[in-house]
Order: sequence, then C-alpha cells, then structure tokens
Amino acid sequence: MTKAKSDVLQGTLALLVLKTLAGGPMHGYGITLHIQRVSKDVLRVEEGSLYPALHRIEQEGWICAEWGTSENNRRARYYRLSDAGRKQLAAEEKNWTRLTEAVAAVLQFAS
Amino acid sequence: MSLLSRLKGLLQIHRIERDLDEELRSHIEMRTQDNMASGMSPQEARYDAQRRFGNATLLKEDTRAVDIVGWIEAAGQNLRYAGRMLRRSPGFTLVAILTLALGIGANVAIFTVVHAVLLRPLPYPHPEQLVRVYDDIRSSNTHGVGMSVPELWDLRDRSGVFQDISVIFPADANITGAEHPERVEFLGTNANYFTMLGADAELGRTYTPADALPGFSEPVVISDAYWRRGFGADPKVIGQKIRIDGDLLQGRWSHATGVSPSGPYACSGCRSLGNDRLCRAAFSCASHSGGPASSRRYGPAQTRTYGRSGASAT
Repeated sequence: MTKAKSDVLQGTLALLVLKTLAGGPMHGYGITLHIQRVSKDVLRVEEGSLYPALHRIEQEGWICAEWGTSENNRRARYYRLSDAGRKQLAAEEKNWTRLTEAVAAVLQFAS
Repeated sequence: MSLLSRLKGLLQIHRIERDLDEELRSHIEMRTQDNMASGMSPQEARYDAQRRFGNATLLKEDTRAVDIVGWIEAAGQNLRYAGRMLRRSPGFTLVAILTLALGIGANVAIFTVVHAVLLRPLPYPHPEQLVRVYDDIRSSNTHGVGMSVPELWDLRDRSGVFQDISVIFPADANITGAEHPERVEFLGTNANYFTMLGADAELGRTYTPADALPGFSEPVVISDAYWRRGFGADPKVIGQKIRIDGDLLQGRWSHATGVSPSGPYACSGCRSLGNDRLCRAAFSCASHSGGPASSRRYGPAQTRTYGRSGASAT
C-alpha cells in the first residue's frame, strides 16, 4: 500500500489490521509481516501509515495495547482485539464484501 | 474518537511519546534482525529498516496528529509565533494596539452612558408607572406650551389616569453658604415630588404637605454627590441654611432638610449621570403671584410635568 491517505485506503488498512489481530495479539512489526506474507507480497504496509492507523484504531477502542516481550526477548508493544473491535471487524468485513461484489457486478456487466 | 480519550491523550502526551519512541525502536530492531537473517550486512540492514520508516519525526507527528487536541497545541504554537512576529515590527503593533484601544474604549464609554441613561431601570418602586406628561397642542403643532395650575390639578384629580403629578423646573443656580460658592443644577419641584417618585431621603426628610404653601418655601433637598462635595458629608447639614441665588428667593435662607440617596435623579428623560442635581426646593404651584417675587419668572413653558399613572388615590 502506498502512502495515499484517502479514506478508503485508511479504512481498508484498519480492516486488515483488525483481521490480523483476530488471529491473536501481535506487535506492529508482526502485523506488517503477516499482511505482507498472507497477501503474497502484494500488500506492503508502510510503517508510516501503519502506526498512525494503529493509534487511531486504539483511540476508537477497537484494540488494546500492552507491553510484552517479543520472540527474541525484546520489549515490544502488543495489540489485542477488543470486544468492540470484534464487532467492528464483522461490520467492516460485511461492508467490504458488499463493496467488492458491487464492483465485480459492474465490471462483469461492462464486458 | 471520544473527546475524553483525546483530552487524556493530550495530558499523557509525554508518556505516549515515550511509548511510541520505544515501539518504533523495537520495530526497527526486529526488522534489522530479519534483514540480517536474510543476508544483509548490519549497516545495510539497519539502514533499510530505518528507511522504511521514512521520516521518523513526521511519522510521530502523524501518529499524534490523529488526536484532535493537536490543534490546541498548534494554536498555542501559532500564538507564540505571532507574538514573536509582532515584537519584530513595533510600529505596526503600536498602531494596531492603539486602534483596538480606541475602538474598545469608545464602545465601553458609549455603552456605559447608554446603560445608565436608557437601559437601567429607575430606582423607584413601580418605575413603569412613572411617566412624563407632554403638553402639546396638536392642532397647531405646538409643543410644550405648558400647563396652568388648575389644569395640573385637574389632571391629577379628575382624569382618572394619574395617581399623582409633580411639576419640576430645572435651572442653574448659585449656592452660597456651603464650603464654597458653586454653580449647580437646581430643580424646583412640587412638594409631592418625592412622594410621587417613592424615594426617601437618606438623611433628614423630604417635603411634607406643610411645605406646599404658595410661593417658595424653605426646605431644600440636596443630592448625595453635592452633599459630599460641598459639605464634606457632614451630617449636620440638616438644618443648615444655604443661599440659593440670592435674588431667587429674595434673600431668604433655605435650609437643607434632606439628602437624597445617591443615584440618578429626576425621571425618565432627564437622568443625571453625575448626581449633580443639587436640590429640589419646594414651591407651590398655587400661585406665582401670591408669593415672593423672584427675578426669574417661571412661566409654565419652562416647567416639566411628571406623573405616576395608576388608579387615583381618591
């Protein structure tokens, strides 16, 4: 993902982060790696957009953060999905599905 | 984002900054490690990790900018900057300050006057009943022709509109017999002037019906301001004789019977801001001829009539 700050991309990033954390607590770097790996290098989250997004999501109360120790015994900040975050994730997933289906429908029609 | 959490963010800003710093550092460390694991040299690894972050300061600012209260900080910074710039151009600053001061001062002055004269309610009971009575002849478009004495009494007793009516005539006068001679505003009134207003004397008394004799009578009520100024707030002013315009009262001494409480006097339309209205000497409208001759003829056209509306007493 580029550093474009459009709302859609921001929203999408939030969705990806929430989904990533649904699998368990993770620190910022781990989230980056996970998204990059699972999307097969298509989506690369720049740190410059990740941390503001994380901060915003944390302010909204969808994730909680606490300090912990990483795999190589380093102090890192772990993020965890909250209950509100779970609900938000479900809602955003539904939205995303609806959006992509709509786009797909339009594309199929045009051809 | 709730305002509360944003405000909390502002208060804990140092802790948040520290946390963010440490978090970013650990992130860079981890990526450096991974880079080295994938074959880069240590410097390359670290450089690559840091490069991904781009401008660290910008990143931190962006992260913090998510808080809406950031604009308060920005406002503070802008204010300080504005202050610095103003200090650098003193001429402009001076002119701006003078203009503002003039504008504000003029407004305050005018509205003080407006408030005292127009907006402040009269300090008498039932001020809405106090009215000014005009004597115009509509047909010939003449204004202020004055009323004769019988007309006045008719207005009071038989019109059913007024509880009481009082006539005043304002004048300038010289006062002697006080600390020093002074020219003051003088208000000749009916004996029932104070009872109509519903005002009492602070010291002494106002007029009694006994004062309502034809001609000018002796008692005088002085205003609080003049009492302080001319008599030094001496309570013994009651009973003291003063002379008002020697020839106005035919050389008769008047003695002060009362000091009116401080506050604007006279009724709507002639509020006196400085409380300088000196005294109201009682005079009776019963006649102008039967009493002592005065060098000034007070014709009806110089008088003003005030009344208190409401059901007549009788």
